[in-house]
Amino acid sequence: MASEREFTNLIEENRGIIFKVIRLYVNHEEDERDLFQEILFQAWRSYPNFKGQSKFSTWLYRVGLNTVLTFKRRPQLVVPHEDLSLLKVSSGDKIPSEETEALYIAIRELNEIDRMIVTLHLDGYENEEIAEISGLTKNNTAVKLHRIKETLTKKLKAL
Amino acid sequence: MELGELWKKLDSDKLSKPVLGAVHIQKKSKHPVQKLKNAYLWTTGFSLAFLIGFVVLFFLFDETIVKAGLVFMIVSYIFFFAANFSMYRKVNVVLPIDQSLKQALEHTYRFITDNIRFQERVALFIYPLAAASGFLMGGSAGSGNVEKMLEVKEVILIMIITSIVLTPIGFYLTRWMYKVSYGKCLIELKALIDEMERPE
Repeated sequence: MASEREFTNLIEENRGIIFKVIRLYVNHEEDERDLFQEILFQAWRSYPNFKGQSKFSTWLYRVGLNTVLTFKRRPQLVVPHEDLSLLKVSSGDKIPSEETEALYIAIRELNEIDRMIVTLHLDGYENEEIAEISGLTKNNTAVKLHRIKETLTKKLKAL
Repeated sequence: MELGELWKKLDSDKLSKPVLGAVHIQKKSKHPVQKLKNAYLWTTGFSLAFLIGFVVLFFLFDETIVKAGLVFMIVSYIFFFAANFSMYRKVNVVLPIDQSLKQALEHTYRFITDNIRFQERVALFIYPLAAASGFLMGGSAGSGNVEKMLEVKEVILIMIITSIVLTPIGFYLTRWMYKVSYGKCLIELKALIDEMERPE
């Protein structure tokens, strides 16, 4: 049985991944809390099966995405591109630039699968790894990614 | 600024900011699969309570036909209890996260739909029996002699009609309850699976 302390340490080191997955797919505070706990629960229960064939961060990314996308979430609010000024900035957050906010909104406007593909890509995962995590073929991943990047670039230029 | 650079800035400024809640491993899941597992536990409990109730009623009624109906109900509820308990034991709340997202989505979708179908089939089987037994017990309590009561053709007809009417009502009520609880979740899962299967 894996030790809880060892697991907690690994989670502490990589918890940014969990936050990122949640921020990209959820915008209800209660859902955020529920999903954070649910990802920890799923990760802890599956941790004994983690054989170290991939990096822990990759494994946790997969756990996070699989959990979020199979979870029953409240309806998601997507702030349209034109309403950038309505975005809430939490106290203590750095005030994001208009460009980064535009990217965030543009990514949130993508469908959930495309969102996953592009975030994994932007986080440095190769197409082969993205295909393995998603279950798509490598070819389909590459085609989708090309189209998504075009869409994002167009949206950002239009700003 | 390039996409990659913007992403890094977005990641550090916004995405990786802590979500409320400490790193504390919960004992219970809030996943829809866990909710189905809980539902099985409740149904197992209810079927056990009904089973005990029918056994008690068996000793309270003297009429053979009512006793026969109750034996039928007891046997049905033993099966109902065993089936629900077995499903409860089988449900694994840990997702197949070692598989790909597509497999995890398909697994969850299939799991929920299979279980809803199981509950609907159980409902179809149990409602006509429950309606007929209820009718016989009511008749016994009211008239004191069910056998005599059943000699009247109209009474048998009413009993059959009651079963025929109550069965679809119960069936569609079960379906509606599951639709309210899991309908949206299933639609979203299906949409994600379809999106993944859509050729570019």
